[in-house]
Amino acid sequence: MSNITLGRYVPRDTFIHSLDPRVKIISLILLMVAIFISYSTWEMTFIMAGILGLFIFLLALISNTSFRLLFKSLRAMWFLIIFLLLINILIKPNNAEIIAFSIGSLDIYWESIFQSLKIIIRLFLMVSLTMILTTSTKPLDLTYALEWFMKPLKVIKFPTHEIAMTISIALRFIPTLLNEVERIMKAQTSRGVDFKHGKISSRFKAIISLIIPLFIASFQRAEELADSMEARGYDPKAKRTTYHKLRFSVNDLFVFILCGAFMAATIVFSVMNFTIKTPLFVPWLVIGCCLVLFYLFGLGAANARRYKK
Amino acid sequence: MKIIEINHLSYKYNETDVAINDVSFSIEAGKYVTIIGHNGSGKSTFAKLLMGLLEPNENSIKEFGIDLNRKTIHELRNRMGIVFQNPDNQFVGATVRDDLAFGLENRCVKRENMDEIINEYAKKVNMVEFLDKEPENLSGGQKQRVAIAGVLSMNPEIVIFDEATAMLDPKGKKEIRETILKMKKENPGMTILSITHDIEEAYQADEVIAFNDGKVVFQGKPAEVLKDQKKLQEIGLDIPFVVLLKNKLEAKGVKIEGSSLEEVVKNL
Amino acid sequence: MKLKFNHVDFFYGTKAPYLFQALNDIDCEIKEKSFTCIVGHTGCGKSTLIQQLNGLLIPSKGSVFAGDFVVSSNKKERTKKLKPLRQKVGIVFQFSEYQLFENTVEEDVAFGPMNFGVKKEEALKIAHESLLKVGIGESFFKKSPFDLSGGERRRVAIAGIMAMQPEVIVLDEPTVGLDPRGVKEMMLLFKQLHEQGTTVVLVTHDMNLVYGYASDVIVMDHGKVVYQGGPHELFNRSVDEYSLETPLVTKLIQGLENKGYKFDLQKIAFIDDLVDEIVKQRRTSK
Repeated sequence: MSNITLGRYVPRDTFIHSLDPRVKIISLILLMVAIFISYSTWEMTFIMAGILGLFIFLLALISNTSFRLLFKSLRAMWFLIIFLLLINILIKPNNAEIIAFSIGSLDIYWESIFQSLKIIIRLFLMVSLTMILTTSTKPLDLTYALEWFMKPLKVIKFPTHEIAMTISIALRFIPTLLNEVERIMKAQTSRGVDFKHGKISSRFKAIISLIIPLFIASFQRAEELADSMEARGYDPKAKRTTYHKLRFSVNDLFVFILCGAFMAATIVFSVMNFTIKTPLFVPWLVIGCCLVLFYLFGLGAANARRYKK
Repeated sequence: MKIIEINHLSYKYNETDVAINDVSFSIEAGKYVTIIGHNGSGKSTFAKLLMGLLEPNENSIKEFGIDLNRKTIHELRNRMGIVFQNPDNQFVGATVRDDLAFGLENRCVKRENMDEIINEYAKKVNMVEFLDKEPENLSGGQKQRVAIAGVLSMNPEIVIFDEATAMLDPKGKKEIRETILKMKKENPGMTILSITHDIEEAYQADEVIAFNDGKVVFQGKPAEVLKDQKKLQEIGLDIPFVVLLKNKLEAKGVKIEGSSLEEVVKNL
Repeated sequence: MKLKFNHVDFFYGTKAPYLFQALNDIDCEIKEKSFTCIVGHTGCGKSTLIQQLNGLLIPSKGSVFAGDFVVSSNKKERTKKLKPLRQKVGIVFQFSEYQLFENTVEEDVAFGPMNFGVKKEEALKIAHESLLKVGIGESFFKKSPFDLSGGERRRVAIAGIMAMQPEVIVLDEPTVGLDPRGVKEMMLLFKQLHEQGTTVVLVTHDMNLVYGYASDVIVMDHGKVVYQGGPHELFNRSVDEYSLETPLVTKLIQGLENKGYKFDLQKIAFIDDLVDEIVKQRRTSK
């Protein structure tokens, strides 16, 4: 069950927690784009990855995301990373020229090493970003944000409200169902089922003995919940007011501009073939970014202090 | 005034499973009525029929003098509330606050007024300090109290409790019973229908209606109808402890007055 | 089979940031062939306690002795294979009606014994016996468990544990949600099991059941055992001490004793005895 805790919302009072979830989702997308921009030279690729990494590192610091959990999430990807490494190293890239070293008759090119490194870094940055988003935003707020984004689809009768309601109920019932899983597993273990060891066939049976009761219980829950919602006057087709309101503040605007600028800068760099030899520009950018980030960091710290009083 | 009138009501889930079999009776406004009967006697089906969650046969249910049908269902439902048995399966919101807001949203209450209403009703059931708690951090009794607050915030004229205490521990049961009594006191005009197999609760109500195999066996004041142990056992129910004691004493020639245990002890 | 707790502590969330002590220095015994009731508030640690009995949870400190089995926090002392213990100590969890999954009722009940190596035909035979014992007739054997009512399914689940032929049967609030007749039938079943030599451990909130059926009572509060002994002694002392519900009979007896009546609790098993006694004492006082 411990894997499920990865990326779970951690209530804290930080600058990032207080941001509008819509802005957070947009920023996530903007930064994702920035991560996936490629550059003409390897130097540039790694420098930009470094800057992004630094930025994300600071975000993690500000949002108080646990680095232990961050690395844990990476550990879950071990297999994928090894697999990618092997594939990249075994297949000779088209433009590979310089051999880094040889193992027996197998030549390993710098190009392939860089390629795999790039992929791993991108994966790491992506996972970290997503983790920062999910640990700093209530799932329900994410749902509201998604509902907001889907608003235009209402024109074509897309059931945005129903989808949002479905997601929020699913989120609400995750802990309840996890408890249920635990209870059924214990009940079946008491009947001699072994969920951890045994032959494939007996393990299959073990899983059946968990899944079927879980489904039956969930259906019953769903039915009772539907009755209760209907009795409380819920009608998905009817007009409803909403209690939750998403608020867009100056801070949100600021973060939005920052992330937008970041993405724009990466695109510009990529398209105009900037290289490391481009004088002055890169250091300035790094310094600029850091300044802004420190400002952000300060704001976060100030916020935290205010709440502690 | 008759607030609920039942006229030849029948309901079956399928050909072999007849839940309610040609039942007719009425309930007076402002009464605290308990409906008793063993599991499967049709009492929960009856509750769902009253709320319009199941469709009754034509012209069989009248609430507030209005016939319950597809056209009137939303109007009637707005004037009633129900608390179900399972505390978990009627908690819709992510927190207590959100759950209370859910009902208000459905009734199109203005956003500006919601916080005030939420606080008011949370206070009524003593849940103010739990407003931002998630359901998994609440006890069964607390969740049921939230459900009651949710129902009360709609200003219903009829409140139905469908075995609302059956899954709770004694502490939770006591909390809910006290909340119901308090609610009754604050809203004397409210009609309360409690479906239960707790005979001690039924004994304290204004009126008792007993269901058995989809039929109403008897209806009347608890002190009058909950006397016959044999008859009660036949329909799978217990006899209230005080009544049992009084019956046994009477059989030995000792006649004692009093309707509660305390009174009987005093008179012994 | 005797069950003994030896200074058991248990913590939840030893790996998570929230540490919660559910059991605090539990040192008690469940006698062989007793009908022991475990009572206490929700969250007092009852459910945690019973899960130590068949090794579903391992004590964080201390040991549980169940016959020859040792469930200890110390790996060296702990019995290597705990699965056979689960056959000897059968646990029926709360809302057990939700653990059925097989195609037919009889197969579901036979599932337990088959997991412990009983051949299918033999397991089905035991299953039929257990089902009849819990009052599920032959006409139900080939039905799907999901066509049964909630109460019937719960009885099938209990039969599923009985079919494993455990020496100790542990039941976690098996009567919740049942109607009075259902409760009575179920309690009579446990009584019968007890009379046939099975140790019955019943976790319940219903003090009237404790009063009527228990031979021994364990009262828990905040992860500790605060009382262990017979039911009469418990109800004789102030039950309020542990903020438990007072059974109605006890309320009556206490009320009358305040008025000068005297009762020998060992002689009063049924309400009829009590009524006789009341009538007799009224006469003599007149």
